[in-house]
Amino acid sequence: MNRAQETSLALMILMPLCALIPGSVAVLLVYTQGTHLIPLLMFAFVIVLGSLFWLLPAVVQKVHKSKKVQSDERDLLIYKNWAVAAHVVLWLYFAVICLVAWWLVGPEGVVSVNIMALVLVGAAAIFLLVEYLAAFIQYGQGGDDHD
Amino acid sequence: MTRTQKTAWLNVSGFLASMALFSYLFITIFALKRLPNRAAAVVVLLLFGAQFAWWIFVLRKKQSPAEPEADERDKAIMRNAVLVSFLSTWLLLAVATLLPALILGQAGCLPVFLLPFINFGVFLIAGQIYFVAVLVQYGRGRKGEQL
Repeated sequence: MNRAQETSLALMILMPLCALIPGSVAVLLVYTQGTHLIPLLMFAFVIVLGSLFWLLPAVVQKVHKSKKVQSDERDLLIYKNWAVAAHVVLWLYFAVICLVAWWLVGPEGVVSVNIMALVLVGAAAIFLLVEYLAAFIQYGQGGDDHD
Repeated sequence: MTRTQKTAWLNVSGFLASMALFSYLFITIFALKRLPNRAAAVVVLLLFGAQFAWWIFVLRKKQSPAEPEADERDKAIMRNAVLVSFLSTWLLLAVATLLPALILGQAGCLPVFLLPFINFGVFLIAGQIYFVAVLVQYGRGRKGEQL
């Protein structure tokens, strides 16, 4: 396992947990105690983590364009692939959620708005998981650092 | 006008025309409780057909036989537009998931049949954002700004 793969593996475990734990706690706090600033901030953190963190490599490359090389062509290609893969899985996740909700409660059924917030937290977690899983697989295809 | 730009115009104009048609049908059927005028429907469908045929003609017609399908600048524009579209997907999904909670309150429920409509709506809007981002970037490029 090369260094990039180790980083991807660590982030693959850590980042979904960073989204799932505060997100679920925030939804539970709002559900049990009503709307407060802290749960809302926790929820906003999860959404920002899921929705904006994948842009980091592109932003870093733009900022450091004329300075030291931050990433090579292969890194950018891998970044592009995992961003696309994660977004495809995001769409599939929402399609599956629609079907599962329909199947569980029936066509005449209703879904609580609290479940919708949990669905979004799950989306952030799955998105981050797929991102780093795709990076892990792709960095593994290149062989060791010495190759 | 490049092929990418033509495709973007085709999609944006088709989307706006479809929205106008569906709004008319929705208002007529659900708000005014009557069937649409048959003559008006025929005229609208003919206009749709004419627009479609015009864009197919424009898409197939090249400025010169040597015109490439897409050059480096087109690819950069499409890459940026994909980033904008992906980002908008996240924002739209967050809004679509949290808006019901704000409107209906914590104890609110949403009919399950609305979920696929929400997803499909977000998908359509994200697609249009991609094409609008393409057109905006071509517009900026014409003024001499760096992409």
